[in-house]
Amino acid sequence: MIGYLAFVVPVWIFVAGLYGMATSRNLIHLILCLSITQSSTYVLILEVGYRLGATAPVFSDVLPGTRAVDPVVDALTLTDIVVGATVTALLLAFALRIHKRTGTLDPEALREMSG
Amino acid sequence: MSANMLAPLAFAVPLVVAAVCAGIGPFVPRRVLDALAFGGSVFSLAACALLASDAAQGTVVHWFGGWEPRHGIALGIAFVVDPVGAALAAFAAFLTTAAMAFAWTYYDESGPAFPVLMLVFMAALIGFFLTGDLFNLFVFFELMGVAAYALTAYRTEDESAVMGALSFAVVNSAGAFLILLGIALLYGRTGALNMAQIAHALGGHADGLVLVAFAFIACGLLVKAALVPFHFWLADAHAVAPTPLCVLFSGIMVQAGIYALARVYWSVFSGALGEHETALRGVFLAFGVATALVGGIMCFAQRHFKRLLAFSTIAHTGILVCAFALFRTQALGGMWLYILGHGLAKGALFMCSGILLNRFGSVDVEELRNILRGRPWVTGAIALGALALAGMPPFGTFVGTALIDDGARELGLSWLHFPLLLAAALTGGSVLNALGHMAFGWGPPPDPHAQTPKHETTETKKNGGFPYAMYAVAAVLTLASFSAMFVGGAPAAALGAAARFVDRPAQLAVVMNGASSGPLPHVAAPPLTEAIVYGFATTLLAMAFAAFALFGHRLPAALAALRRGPALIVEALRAVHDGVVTDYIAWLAAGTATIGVALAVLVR
Amino acid sequence: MNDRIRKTIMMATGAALFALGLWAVGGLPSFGHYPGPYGDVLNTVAPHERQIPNIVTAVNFDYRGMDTLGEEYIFFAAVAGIALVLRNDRKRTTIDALPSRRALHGPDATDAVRMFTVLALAVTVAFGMYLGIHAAQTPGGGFQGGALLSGFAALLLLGFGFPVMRKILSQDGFEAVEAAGAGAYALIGIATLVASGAFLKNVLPLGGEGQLFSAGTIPIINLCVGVEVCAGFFLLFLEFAHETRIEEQEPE
Repeated sequence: MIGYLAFVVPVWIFVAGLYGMATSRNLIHLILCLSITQSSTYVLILEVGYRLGATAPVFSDVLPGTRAVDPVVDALTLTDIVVGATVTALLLAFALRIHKRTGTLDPEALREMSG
Repeated sequence: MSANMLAPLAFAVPLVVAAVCAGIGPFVPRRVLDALAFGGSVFSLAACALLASDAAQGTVVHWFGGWEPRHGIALGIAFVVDPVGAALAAFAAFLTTAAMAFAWTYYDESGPAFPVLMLVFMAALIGFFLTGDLFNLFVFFELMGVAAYALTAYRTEDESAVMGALSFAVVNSAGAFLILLGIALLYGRTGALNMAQIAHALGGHADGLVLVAFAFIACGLLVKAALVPFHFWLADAHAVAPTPLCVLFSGIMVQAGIYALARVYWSVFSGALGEHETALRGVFLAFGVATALVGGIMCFAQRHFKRLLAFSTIAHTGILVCAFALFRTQALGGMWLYILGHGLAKGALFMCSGILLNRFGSVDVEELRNILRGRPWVTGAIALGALALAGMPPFGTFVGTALIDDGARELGLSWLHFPLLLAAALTGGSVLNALGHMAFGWGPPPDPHAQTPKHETTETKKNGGFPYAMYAVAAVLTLASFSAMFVGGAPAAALGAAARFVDRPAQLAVVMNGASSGPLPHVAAPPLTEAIVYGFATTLLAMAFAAFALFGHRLPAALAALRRGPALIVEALRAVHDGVVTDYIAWLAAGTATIGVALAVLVR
Repeated sequence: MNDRIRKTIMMATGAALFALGLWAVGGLPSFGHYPGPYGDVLNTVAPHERQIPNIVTAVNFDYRGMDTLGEEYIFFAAVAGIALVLRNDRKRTTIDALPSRRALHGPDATDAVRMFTVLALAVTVAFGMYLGIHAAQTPGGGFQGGALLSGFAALLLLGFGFPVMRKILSQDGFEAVEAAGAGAYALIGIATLVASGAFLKNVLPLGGEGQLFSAGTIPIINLCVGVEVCAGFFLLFLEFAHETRIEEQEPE
């Protein structure tokens, strides 16, 4: 049961992030909600490769062959984090430019822009 | 050089060239960068074309790092190149090359950003078409996305360009996360990322996990494909993106989403979900038809020519999704041809819009009234493009439509002809309508109370030398689209490629055991005689729509009342397309939930 | 769509998506019992096949090196895009000719702040390089090390202000370095393809486990990534810091 709850966490984060994005009144807030939504993917990917009581897949201090968690999910998450960080930076640059030009970050007020 | 080595080169060489351009960008003249970038895209075009002809003789598999699978377990990432993927990759390289040639005289001044990002974008598309690994597909989805977002904001002095890029980026990123959640679910179940291996591990049984994973991945890919209600970003991005980029967006990027959906379905899910095909068909046909009609109607209501073309792309996405949803090889073969025919025609039309912007500084149809009088070349190109969108024989779109219709008829779904025909006619008709304004000054006098058009910041040097390159490239695309049916055996080749595309067991043997797939199976193309009637009927309907829009105001009052009904629908749709990015997210969530719940209810 | 409608829609669809998600994760193997096979196979074969203790690094730069190549180009494209968007209406030549020398925090920083900045600079550089180089042995790697090293730029800005940061970090130079890092990764792929017939095949001698430059091409690719990431973050810091400064001087 506790194990199942662990999997509920990413689902909850994902839905909460989407809700935050859709109800946002500020582009910076919206971009951070996008990051939150993405963090649900980190959590889920890491969880599916987790193994109770196992070590990290770095066999410097422990012998190869020791029970270890899945190294693939670690690598995937690393890639995912880089993607998330860069997209966030690009979006923040967009938001900065929009604010500089229009003086607002409210999506409703910016509706004419997408015209 | 063996075919096996071409696949990574087609992807990696443009990346190296992009890095070189970025590194030397500040120190060399612009033409050097343009020439380098052009060379990179021509290289990829040649490599992908060779690869396509090799793949026709047998699916090409390249294991990166030399990590061949052991005992049915993939250790690394593979490019699994079938003729469809290679042909679409070659098409992406072709459109990129055309767009770069078009851009040669197009920009006033530009740093290295444009060629660099275009090359990265093309490489991402090629990787996206060739990869046989699910997570690698996500990486290329994101790579394609980041390059595209940045390029959309290219005219940064125009804040609507940056806002369009932001909506594009936010909505597509949310779609990417849906894909990634689906991949994580599949990985948790199967411990594999290679598509063939996942399919094998899933077996023939579908439970909640498989169904939701499919729904999430499909919705994420359909965000890229701009299915209603995930489509809002597309019109905003197209309206503001540089015109050469729109050629790629509408010509191949949107279709890449549908290709990937088909690829993922037939390479991963068709075993587990095969028995529920009827349920899937119902859901995707409903969304596909809705997309075709919404796109068509909104297309008809535009006066901004690029936005008009963008909505037409949405309508054609609907047609392609319907082709996918039939789950028949004929329809799939028709889909490949439709993608090529539509991409060429739409590319040519966007280039015409670029010429308008370059020569006259506007793409507003009202503002450009009468401006094409005495300019037969542009007028002719736009007219041919309109007929191609309507699916008139012998354009590539016609052959595609004919095969899709054939698939529908075989399933007893002949009614599907009519919404698709209507959507195609609406898109062709709206381009003809715009042309009537621009070339002949027809149409009702502009409403003085109408909103004034947004001022267009020019993206090019105005009235510079005569842009021969632009005209030449637009002409090449138009002619290529026109001559599609005269390429002997194109329908048969597409059908053969589709037959191999759906053969999952054979794919497993090829990917995991290094078996040879052998040359493409021979599939006879069905006769197209009946389809020719439909094709011309669609064209006539498109002309009728255009005539009604152009001359409807001269009809007697009783008949003019006919205009009121459609006007109400247009108003309602316009209200929904409100340009607020948070609404787009709400629609995305609602669409995903609807598709997911519908699949769950119908399958269980 | 107004706020209330949007919230209502999101409540309903959020509940539906949540239910779908719960249904889906119910089909996963129970938590903490990863069934394999992918990761277990790699944990078994990678230590001796690649002479590397850190399997995550082996996955990133060897077994799934294509993902990392794509990831590096995502970073590369994003940096190019940010430079494009932020640099638009300020030409590079005018940067040093800006009227005010007042930078974000420069003149305001006290001597104490500056002294600690210098100390922190040393630690950042040392730790960043340590982390970046030891990808094969410890849970470090080019990306982590490069990101940490780029803290150098942030510290410069904090302690000495934008003009000093701008003088020390050359924009054109870092653009070239960043491009070289990204391009070298793709070039290594092509070189190994020509040498062995497989893109990104680890063709170099593997050495012994635990040595600094064991594991063949892995440390070289790791270095490329580290260089690219570090230069890329320098550029990002420069661009964003520059933007604040413009804002300060030309209020609208």
